[in-house]
Amino acid sequence: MGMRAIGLGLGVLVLTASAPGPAGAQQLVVAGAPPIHEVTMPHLGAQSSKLLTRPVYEHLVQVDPVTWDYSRPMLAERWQVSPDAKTWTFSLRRGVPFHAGMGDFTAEDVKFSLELLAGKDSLASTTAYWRKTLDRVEVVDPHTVRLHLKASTPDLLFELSNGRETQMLSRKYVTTVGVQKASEKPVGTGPYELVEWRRSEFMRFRALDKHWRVVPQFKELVYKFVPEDSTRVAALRTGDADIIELPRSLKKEVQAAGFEARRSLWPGVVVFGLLGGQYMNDRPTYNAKVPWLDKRVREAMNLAVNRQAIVEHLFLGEAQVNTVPIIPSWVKEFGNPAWKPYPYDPARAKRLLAEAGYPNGFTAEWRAYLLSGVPELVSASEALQIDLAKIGVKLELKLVEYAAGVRPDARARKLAGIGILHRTGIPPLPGSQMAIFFSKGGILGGVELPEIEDLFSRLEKSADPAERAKMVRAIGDVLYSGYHTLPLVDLYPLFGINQKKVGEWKTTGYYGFTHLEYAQKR
Amino acid sequence: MQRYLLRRLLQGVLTLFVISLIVFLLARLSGDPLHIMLPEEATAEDYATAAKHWGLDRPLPAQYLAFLGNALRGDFGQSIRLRQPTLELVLERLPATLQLAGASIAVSLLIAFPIGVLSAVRRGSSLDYAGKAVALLGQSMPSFWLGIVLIWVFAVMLGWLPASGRGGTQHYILPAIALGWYQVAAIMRLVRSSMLDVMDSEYVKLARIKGVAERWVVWKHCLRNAAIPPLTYIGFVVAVLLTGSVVVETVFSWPGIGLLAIDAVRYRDFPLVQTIVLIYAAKFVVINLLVDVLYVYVDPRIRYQR
Repeated sequence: MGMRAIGLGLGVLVLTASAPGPAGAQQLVVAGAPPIHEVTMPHLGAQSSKLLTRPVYEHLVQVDPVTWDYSRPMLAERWQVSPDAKTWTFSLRRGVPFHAGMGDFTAEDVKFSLELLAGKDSLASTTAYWRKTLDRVEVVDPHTVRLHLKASTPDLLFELSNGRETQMLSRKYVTTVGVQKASEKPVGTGPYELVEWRRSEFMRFRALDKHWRVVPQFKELVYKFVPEDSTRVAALRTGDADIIELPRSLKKEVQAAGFEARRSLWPGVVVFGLLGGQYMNDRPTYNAKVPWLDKRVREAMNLAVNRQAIVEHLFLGEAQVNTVPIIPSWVKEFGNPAWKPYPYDPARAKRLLAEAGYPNGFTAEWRAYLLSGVPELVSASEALQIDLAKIGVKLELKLVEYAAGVRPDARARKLAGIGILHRTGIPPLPGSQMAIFFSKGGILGGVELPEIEDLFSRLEKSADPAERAKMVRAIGDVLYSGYHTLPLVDLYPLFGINQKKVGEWKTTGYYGFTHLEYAQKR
Repeated sequence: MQRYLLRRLLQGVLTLFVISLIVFLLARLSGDPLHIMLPEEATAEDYATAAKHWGLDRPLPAQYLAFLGNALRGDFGQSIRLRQPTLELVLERLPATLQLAGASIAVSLLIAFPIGVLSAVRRGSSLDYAGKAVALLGQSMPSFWLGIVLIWVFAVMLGWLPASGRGGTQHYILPAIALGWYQVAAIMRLVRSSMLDVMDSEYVKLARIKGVAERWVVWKHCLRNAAIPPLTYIGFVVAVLLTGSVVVETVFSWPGIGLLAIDAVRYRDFPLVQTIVLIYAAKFVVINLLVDVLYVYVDPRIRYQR
């Protein structure tokens, strides 16, 4: 009796509920790891949270997944910029309706969205930028909006693009239902509208029948959040998912099962060694004894690394050797054909070390950390340890947590004598990202060079794209010829695809799935 | 009896207080959470604003007292990662964990008790050896490995069951087995050894002499008396399962408290970590108390001793 009662009681607990089953022909199911911040309101989220609302929200401008042109019109049809790049006037697209009958998109929505992002309650990753940049938003008329900025901002279009967190919200909707409700059921102008969301489980979107930009071929889009790699592969194989985020280690398995492993069009992560301590000598933390303040040591360390072996054996070919970290060399305006990967030449490296006064090498601390989506990061540090040991440079590897073990010291310019391995997303616009690491005022500076400080300050002021690209290349020249970093690899996000169902789909791979509304049926 | 329960209750409250202090301090010893919360581009001003927003600019004792005061009112703070009250998040995930725990306990009990009893009754038989093999297998296989194997066999190769997620009854089967199998082994061995002790006792012999049917002797007289050691263990198991299984919930993308906990730790969402640990602790305290009460029900002699 007792056992029966327990069994019955426990059985009652096993309730049934509906969840997305195997994907139908009209349904596109994608499975990936959940974003760090599972939040839909742009002013409360981060880069990674944008994944959740890409189908729902739109921006003023968009990034082309193929050319990586970040100045293609979206909700703004055209714009004018003042010569000092401090005043931008946008003409907005007319007759673009918000979902849920919230009226048409207007200049008031732009003002509301940007002011929310820069407002006192904002916690977004770009809040700092907007508070620093935005002076005021002027509604000229319902279809014209003017942004008055505090400083010259030639990068503004990228910040307003769908590569960033400037999603356009409906002022009417958010002020009517409140931020909490608007967060639970985001309403935008995108080609999909959200119909169901179970936090950390799945999001289900329905395609609109009419849309100004694209009517998706798949009538329903489902995001499934599956943190475990092998479970995602199983979902692809069982038909529970059509596109999955695929770890490099499982690529062959997916291909062997008859599915396609597709690279994103562009790399999404850059991995490089930051030779910390190359500070201005007026810094209190400047230490003249750091060995790699000598160019010959830096060159030696770079020549000792067998990058091709790292690409082939650690990253299984799904990476490319980089030459100047963060500069997207595949964007023709920024790349310099003279930047070839540093050769692997341990013999010359040893000679250079001896010339620099280190015939027996030296010992240095090296910090490595685990990074979600890049499990090879620690192994890459170990590979460097082995390569550098061959020329006498002994790395004392310390496994740390990035936020606690790297970032605070980098901010405080205490990386003297320490080599670290770093990464970041690769935006199409490298200037501001490079400044973070390679300028005196950069938040995470590990390298400060008088010869490029001026270039960075000119870069901030110039609105001329050609001139800006030239300055980026000039900064790259200094970093490259001076061996100031340990460039390693650019990594491509990889996706497993059921190619019998999904045809053409181009994605930048920039923070997860992009451009799903353009995915074609096979 | 009442004095005993009151004493245990007070001990439980004290335990929760100490745990709250430990978890509060540990969450802060692992580094400044602002480094996780804020983007790399954040300025010193952003750090100051966020510190004020989350109350991290105050001295640690003041932060702890505020946390404790709010917790007593049911306000455990807001999740940094999900921007929602932490208690709300835990309660949101609780049904998934309870359902999976219920299913896995059902799997454990329905398999372990009959095998344990039969192994004891037929000691030395092939059934007994098979039972031991089940126990050995169950305790040797890590649940994450078993989970992945189950997915590959029953979802990928045979296509009988879904690979992951929470949905209809069929979604429970694989995670419940992965989670419950380990307990099967332990409970079965406890039932077996306890049954062997009881079956050798005088009152059992008397029952047999009096002509009570063997089935009745085994399943009523012996099993009820042999249930105390397994019951203690099951109480512990229930407490563990109710806190969610980090491994099984991750493998099966099961949106329970275990998955919430691992994400909270991974992203240094310390208000959520604090809430989860405190709720874990509270569950253990309550379940230990319930097991003590159950002892009294199962063995009336305990009532008089206390």
